[in-house]
Amino acid sequence: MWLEQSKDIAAALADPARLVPNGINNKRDRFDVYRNNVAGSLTCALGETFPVVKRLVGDDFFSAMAGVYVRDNMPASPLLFEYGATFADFIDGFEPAGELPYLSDVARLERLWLDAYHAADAVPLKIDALAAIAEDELDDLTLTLHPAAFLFRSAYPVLSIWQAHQRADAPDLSALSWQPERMLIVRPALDVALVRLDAAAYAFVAGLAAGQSLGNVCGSLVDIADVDPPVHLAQLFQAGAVQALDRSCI
Amino acid sequence: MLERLRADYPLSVHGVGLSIGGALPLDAAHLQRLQTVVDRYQPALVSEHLAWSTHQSGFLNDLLAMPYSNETLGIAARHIDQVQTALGRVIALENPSTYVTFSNSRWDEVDFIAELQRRTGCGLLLDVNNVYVSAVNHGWDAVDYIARFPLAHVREIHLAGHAPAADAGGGFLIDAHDRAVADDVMSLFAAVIARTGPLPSLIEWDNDLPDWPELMAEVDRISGVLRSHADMDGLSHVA
Repeated sequence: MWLEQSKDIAAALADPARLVPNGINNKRDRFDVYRNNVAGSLTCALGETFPVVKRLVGDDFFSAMAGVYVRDNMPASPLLFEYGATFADFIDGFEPAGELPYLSDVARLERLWLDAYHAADAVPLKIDALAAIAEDELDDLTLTLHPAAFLFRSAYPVLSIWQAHQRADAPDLSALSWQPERMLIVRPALDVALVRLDAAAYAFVAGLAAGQSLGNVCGSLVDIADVDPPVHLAQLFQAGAVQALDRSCI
Repeated sequence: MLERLRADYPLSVHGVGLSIGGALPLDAAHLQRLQTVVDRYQPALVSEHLAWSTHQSGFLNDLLAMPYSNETLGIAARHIDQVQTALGRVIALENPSTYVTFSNSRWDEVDFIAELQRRTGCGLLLDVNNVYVSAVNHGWDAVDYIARFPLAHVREIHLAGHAPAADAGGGFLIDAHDRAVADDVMSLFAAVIARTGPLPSLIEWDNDLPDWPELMAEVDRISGVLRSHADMDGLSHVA
């Protein structure tokens, strides 16, 4: 009986248009406290996970947009830091936000930032580890990215937009160059860092992240301008984004 | 950071997501996560709420009120047993703040909690502000609630500020955690400590946080009450 009763309550909490379920001594609108708590706390949680999206559209617009999302996408887990995995896709289909085509990619970046923040800890490998690899083994070398390292690229300058919103004062986007941007999101120790990658570095790191050997990655990038494997590798190690080297395929 | 703190201070792990009062089976993955935290940090106390938050539709992210019936008594007791068995330790159950009651409730809240304690051997966490908020909202007598509460099993006290609100049904209180503890709640707290002796006491202030001096002044008020009964030997003075 409690199973059925709580099912009715859950449905009424998610949908304000539903009547207050039978069995509840509802002093007029008192059940609305729970409705407000559920919708309000989840909207607030989304605002904390997507602060730049919130600043870009303003508090009122964000609350309205998040409210629509919350109604149809209750969290599957009590771990609220995981909530909003589909928020960026939702924004893509949310017509009132259509004027800001980059908004969903900003949301994707913020989601990855939080994923990196909560990913497993690991001590990043130092670049000295490469010295132990014989030169003739380098071609077959593969590497494992740090568990808190993610790659992202956008058709919009979302890294620049994100960076412009990290200060309290009003961001100036007028000087922004509306070019695609690529980045590495990584948390080698306590703090999440966003590292800008150029097209060549992104292609190089993406190949390694996909499990390709160093030799294969270099071979597949010969036609791309500005490819400089030693520089890209150094940048990757410098960022603390490498967990392990693997020679097992030799 | 928790490991560093744990080296110098006992920790109290306070859960909000297990849905002890929910009709569905406990979330096994969530319980496993709690077990990992407890194994790693060996807290002095683990607590959860007499409330529910999870249904098939998902996690509702609020501590929802439940009817107090024989059926829900059995469900909550089974869930507390399950958690205590999994963790290999006694947990403390917190009394809720509520805004509605249920026509199918057959138990008074204090009797329900006391019976749960008796069946499961669990400890209790007494949130004095929750007592006050629920008493105002439902026309209960907070002093009588405290007088009947099984204080001998209380392991920790919670205090918080509440926000006055009003709707078409009249005035009521919201458990807002956004301001100083009300004087009436402080009086109830002093009455509890006078009976139990000093207990670990926590101020829940997680919205609209004030500046540090104001927060410390609040801690001083609580400490003053605890110090004035410091000569008491803990729970042995419970009547």
